[in-house]
Amino acid sequence: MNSKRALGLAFALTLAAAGCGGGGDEFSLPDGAGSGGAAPTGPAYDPATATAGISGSILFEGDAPEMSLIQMSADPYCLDAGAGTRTEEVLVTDDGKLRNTMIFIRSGHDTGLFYAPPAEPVVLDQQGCRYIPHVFTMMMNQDITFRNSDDTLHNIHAFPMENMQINVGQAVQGMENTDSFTIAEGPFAIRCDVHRWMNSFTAVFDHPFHTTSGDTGDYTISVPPGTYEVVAWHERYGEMTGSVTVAAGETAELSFTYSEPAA
Amino acid sequence: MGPTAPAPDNVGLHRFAVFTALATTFLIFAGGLVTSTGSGLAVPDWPLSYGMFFPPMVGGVFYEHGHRLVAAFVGILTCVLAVWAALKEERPWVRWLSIGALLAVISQAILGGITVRYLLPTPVSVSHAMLAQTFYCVIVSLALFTSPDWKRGLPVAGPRAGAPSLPWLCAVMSGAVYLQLLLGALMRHTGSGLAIPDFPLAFGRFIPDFDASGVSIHYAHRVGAVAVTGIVVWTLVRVLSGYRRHPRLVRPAVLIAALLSVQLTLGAFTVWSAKAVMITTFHVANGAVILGASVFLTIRSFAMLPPGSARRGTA
Repeated sequence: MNSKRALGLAFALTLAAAGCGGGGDEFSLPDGAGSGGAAPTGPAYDPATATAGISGSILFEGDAPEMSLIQMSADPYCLDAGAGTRTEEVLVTDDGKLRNTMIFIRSGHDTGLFYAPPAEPVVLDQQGCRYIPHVFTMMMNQDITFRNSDDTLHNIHAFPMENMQINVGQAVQGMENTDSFTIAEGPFAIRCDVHRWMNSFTAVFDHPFHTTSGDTGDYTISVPPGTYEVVAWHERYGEMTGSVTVAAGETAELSFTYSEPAA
Repeated sequence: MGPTAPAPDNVGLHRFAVFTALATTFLIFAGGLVTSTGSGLAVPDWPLSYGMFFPPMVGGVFYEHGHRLVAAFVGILTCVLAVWAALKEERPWVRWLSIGALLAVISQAILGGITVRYLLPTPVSVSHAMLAQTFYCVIVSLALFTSPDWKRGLPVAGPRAGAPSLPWLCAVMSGAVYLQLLLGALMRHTGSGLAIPDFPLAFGRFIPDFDASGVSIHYAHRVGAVAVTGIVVWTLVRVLSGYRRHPRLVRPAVLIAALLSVQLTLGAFTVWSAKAVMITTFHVANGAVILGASVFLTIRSFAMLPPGSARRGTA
């Protein structure tokens, strides 16, 4: 028995587990966002310097798994408004591209610049007892507006690891609440504890070089000329990385290919 | 609580205490449902629910707000019990115990509010779970102390003999069950319920690697189950071998052993079913009943096996 096991056994036998809680966050996700940490306080980034581009597709190889119908009987409204809704974990377009994948720059950008957050908020809507969009990206200190378009109550519960959790209730159709995340961090889940099937994923960045594959499975990011480490992140298939060098006035292509792992 | 003249029967108060104990059992079940369904934050505000007294009971709100309603009902029962005892109960220590129950249920409500407002911090959630067990023990004790049987004086079963004597063995059993429930609460509120996914082995072995704290907590709960089983069997054997003519001791001891066998089965199925909601929740509630029965037997055994010479009254 190695020392680690012996220590663990002693711990269990002495019933001393009380002081070692922690962990256990079932929604914890691998770090995959940008550089994280506090905002750079250097000179402001000029979006006009983003004269290059990175674009590509998120390809899916093989047969996509069939998404199951969501059982919404816990709420009569949802049963009606969300009839026929399937889980959105793996959505593949007709031409074989994977939707709802985050794509972002991990390194290569000028970390000494200050990247101002967009003035317009991202909007996370609740329609038909599901979140729209299912996957999105945002910047630190950028406003996020939670909107309830459903004629039932929801709570919006964000599970970041670095930022403070958010848990806000919206009892009435049309309600909106605005909040923000102040620390850059990798993908995390947003869930509704009333309707446990509702989930969405976001990541918070300290730079503007991020997007999603949206509904088409394609993406484009405008960047200054340079060499970048690019990351694709999917809620089921995880992270893939690639590297690309792009010159001014050019668009480099970088695609990623996911597939269902063998059982 | 020494020997005094028998207190007059107050069957109404006793029955009310028993009813409160039953309601508390259901409250613990309802609280277990909240955690089992992951609905602890389905209502993000407190003391109101979405700013209302009665929000639509949909999805997780049904469990969380339902738990609050049952808790409010038990709170009212406890308040009535304390007032009733203050007015009609002659024994000061029983009156004080009922006031203690009232303070406990108020504290429990506040803890419940804090755990919601602060997004289920583990120490607060575990404290909420354990104060529930403590409150339950107090209510069970009140049901026993207010019973006519207790007031008239329990028969003496004999002098305390053996080491440990039966009363102290029962006390150890109650303490062990309480610690086991603490470990269970830790397991639930740290999400460690399936940290070891197989049973009866742990990752195919008797002793797993303890790479994660969840595994340690989960394994400690299993070790605790073995320890509790040993103490319960020891207690049962002691009662059956030495006090089999005293049904007041035999019945609760047999009941505890029967409940424990159910509990072990529920624990196994909790793992095998990947924490099926009802199985997991019955496991929580049954654990509380085992604790209540252990405290009941402990108090009775202390009363029926007095130190030194026999005594006549227990009131």
